[in-house]
Amino acid sequence: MKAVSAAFFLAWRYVLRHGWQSLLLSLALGMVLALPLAVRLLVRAAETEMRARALSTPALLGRPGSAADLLLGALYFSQLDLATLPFGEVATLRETDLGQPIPLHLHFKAQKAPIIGTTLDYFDFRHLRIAEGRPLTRLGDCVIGARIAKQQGLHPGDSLFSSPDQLFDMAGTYPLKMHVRGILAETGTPDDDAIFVDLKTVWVIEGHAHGHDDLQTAPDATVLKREDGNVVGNAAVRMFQEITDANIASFHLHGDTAELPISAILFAPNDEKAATLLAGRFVNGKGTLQFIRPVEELDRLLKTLFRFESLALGTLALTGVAALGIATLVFALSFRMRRREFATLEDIGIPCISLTLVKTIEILLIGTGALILATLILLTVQTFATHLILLTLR
Amino acid sequence: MKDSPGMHVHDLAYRHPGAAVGIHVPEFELLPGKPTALVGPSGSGKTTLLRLLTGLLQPESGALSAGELEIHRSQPATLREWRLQKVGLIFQDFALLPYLSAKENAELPSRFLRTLAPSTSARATALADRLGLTDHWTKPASILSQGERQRVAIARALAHEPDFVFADEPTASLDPKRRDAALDLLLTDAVDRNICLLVITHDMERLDGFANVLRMEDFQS
Repeated sequence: MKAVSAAFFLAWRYVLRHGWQSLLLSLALGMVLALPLAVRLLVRAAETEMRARALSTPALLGRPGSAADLLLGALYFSQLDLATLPFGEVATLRETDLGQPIPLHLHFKAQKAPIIGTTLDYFDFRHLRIAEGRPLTRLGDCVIGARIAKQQGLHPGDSLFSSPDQLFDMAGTYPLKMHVRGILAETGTPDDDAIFVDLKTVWVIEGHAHGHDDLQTAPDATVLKREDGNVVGNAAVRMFQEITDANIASFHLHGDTAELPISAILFAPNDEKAATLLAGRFVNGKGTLQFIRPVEELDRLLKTLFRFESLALGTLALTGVAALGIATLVFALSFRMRRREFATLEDIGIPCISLTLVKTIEILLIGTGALILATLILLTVQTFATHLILLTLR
Repeated sequence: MKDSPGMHVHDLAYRHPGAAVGIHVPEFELLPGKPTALVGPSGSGKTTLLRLLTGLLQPESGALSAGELEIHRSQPATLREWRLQKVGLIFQDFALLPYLSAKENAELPSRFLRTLAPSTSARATALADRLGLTDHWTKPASILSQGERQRVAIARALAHEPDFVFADEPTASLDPKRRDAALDLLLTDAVDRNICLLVITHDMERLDGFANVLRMEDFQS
């Protein structure tokens, strides 16, 4: 027992004296241990998060094309460049009486947060609750997710600008100053990171609707032509970039509302039979719309993800073996460099078994450090897994 | 005062592989309470003889015993145990562990011998005081000066109260004042505890403190 305690004392003092080197070695080994487990943890967390969202969305419609893009865009707002479909499709679906269609417009951002154009039905469908302020009531209003509000320090009464599509495209969309009316309660879903506006507001951002100076009273410099009581303005007409009480009346839509673009339609069928009937309409896939059941599409996507996980785990296992080899070499070199020290201990009369114990305990101490660090890494990953997944999806 | 056994050497011979000159000790006794000095020019084999006496080298022939223990016939494990329990060694290069403090270095053999007793700690601390190490007692050996390290090596050799002390130039790195104090300590300890002490030295001025003086020239073959 005395030999063990004396050997532990020597090993502990050595590890302590070479604290930084020991910590680095433990960290390297800890990461090798933790990484494969962290990958598994993240994949499981991603699966759980994504499935929960998919399960709560019975059906989804969009333009024919990549079903995965449609899924990732409409459910997780991670794909904002979906092919558009006309808003009139919403009315067509509503006329089927099979359920409730909810339009989504996913194209614009305010800084890095997606701007989601939708109707008030979306908030009921996702059970979103206003935690602070009030819901959307007017053109130019927005309600924002809890996390984005916290990150940007936004409160009801504040405002934020939509980001222009292309910074140097003078003829392109102009940023719109949106008024924050409400903050949503946190849900732990992608809704926490989004900015919600009415469809008409997003059409204003897109340029399908706008407000400008009254051309009847406008100076001639801003008028292109006047004929038969109609006045056509030129590029000098001042366009409003903020919707206020004073100018809201001047905002108007151009063109047929049914033709205006949306990105996807969430569909809440009345029952399973209605869902099946609706699916039947799109079964041949030759129509102008694509119908997907998110959970089925997600399962297909996850199968791919699992294949990548296996590949990643295989690579990490190889890396782990290499790292363990390097660690063995480090220990071997370290003991070789300390030959004189061990020779001294032998000369003094320390038994061989005690010297072997000293070396073993040093390796065990580093290994224990590696295990502790691996546990800490895994706990951190577990704590922030949902957040990391949402960030990745965004 | 303990009754320490002496060491007896008879017809001991050793030659380094390829060396022209070897060591031959016809007869010699290291007696308790009779400090012995071993002198001789550099390279004459003093350290080799010390290593033979402590069982760190195996003689080619001859007999060597310490009390009941026949060193020349003993297994390495037995010799290790004997050194750990009965021998205090002061190496020429001090051989301290740099990651231990002066105190921990001095207490190292005791730590492997038995649970470190308060009396051992107290003796080590008293030795530190006599060697002028009190201010450096808790400092890591790696930051000590040569002289300080040498004194820690002396404290390590004496702290566990061995029956035999073998010192290889134990005062070579010390100034005259410290040298006298260190040598006095070794001599006093050997006489007071009635143990065997062999000191390799080049310091001819202090040979009068030793009961016996051995000359390496007498042991060359």
